[in-house]
Amino acid sequence: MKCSIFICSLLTSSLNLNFYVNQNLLVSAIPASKLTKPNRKKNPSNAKIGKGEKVSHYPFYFLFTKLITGSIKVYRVLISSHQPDVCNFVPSCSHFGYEAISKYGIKGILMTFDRLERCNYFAWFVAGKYYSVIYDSVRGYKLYDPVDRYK
Amino acid sequence: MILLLIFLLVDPVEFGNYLFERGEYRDAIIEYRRAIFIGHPDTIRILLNIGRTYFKLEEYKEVRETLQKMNSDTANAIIVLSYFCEKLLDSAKIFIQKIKSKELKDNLLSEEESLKKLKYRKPILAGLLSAILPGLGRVYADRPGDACFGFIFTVSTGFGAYHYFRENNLYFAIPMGVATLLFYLGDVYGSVASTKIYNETLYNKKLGEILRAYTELLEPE
Repeated sequence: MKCSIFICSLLTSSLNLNFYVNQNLLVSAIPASKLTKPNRKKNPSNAKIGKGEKVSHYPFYFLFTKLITGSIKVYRVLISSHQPDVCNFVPSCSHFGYEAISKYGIKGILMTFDRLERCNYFAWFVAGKYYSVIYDSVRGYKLYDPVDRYK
Repeated sequence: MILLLIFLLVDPVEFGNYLFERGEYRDAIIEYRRAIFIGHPDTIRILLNIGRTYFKLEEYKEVRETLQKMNSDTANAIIVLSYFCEKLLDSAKIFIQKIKSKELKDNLLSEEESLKKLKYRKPILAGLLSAILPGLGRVYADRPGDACFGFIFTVSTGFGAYHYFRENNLYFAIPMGVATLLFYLGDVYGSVASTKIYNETLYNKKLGEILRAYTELLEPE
């Protein structure tokens, strides 16, 4: 039974593979002129602004967030790299801040300050309940706390 | 030729179940669909298995699309569980009413009631508490350790800002003031977010208990 199942799985996988190959052949057979070209036009100024896009539409806002994320980068290179690893979380607070501000702008700043308040020894008391513990080969045991959880 | 014969002789439903047990859910669905395509007589069982596989993949909309037309107790119960997973309790109740078995219906109704009666905390109240006293909202959100640190950060930077303003040292006072404001707002934001996470954790814990109770329903036949 097991042997037949194995052979069966081999057959199905080979059939799937053939299917993909044929798909590729089909795509390559279509002349390049008939393929849809990506729209390279700039977004109009009155376009609906999504959460992730708003940074690029307002120049001052864009510069402000760039300034903060740039300063976080400088901190990471000049200061953080010379310090021992003291952050309890994965991603680390500076990485969290960089990601949050890049993604959510002003709201990301609040998220970062919230994270700084949460990064303490007591966080380990609620590990397993609110944070999952993961093992990083370089940094050891850390609490997993992604940005999107606090959006 | 022999390989092709073996391929045709193996029951695709059995093979699908084998793939399900191995955790290869996408391939299991392909096998179940193949079984329907070749005219397997046990269509109801296969459709239930497809629904179960989508449930494992957490694609609840697909679960409902597959099982909605079957109108059997098992199918309806799986649909109810899928609604529980998506926190759509009112929709779940509609399908509970369709279940004919009294025991199953009563059990699912009590589960639905228990999910509704969970002691959720209010994120707005947490935000207000933190606005009144930094850290208080976090205590409400079941994070007393974070509350201590939130309070210490906000008060210490606030005290520093006050101290430097009194000394007319604006070079320190302004950054300290900005830090105080950000820690304060961060605390309010964090309290609201932590309360939402508390509610989510509470719901997921109860949901886990319910799903464990109905494991047999979610295993392929």
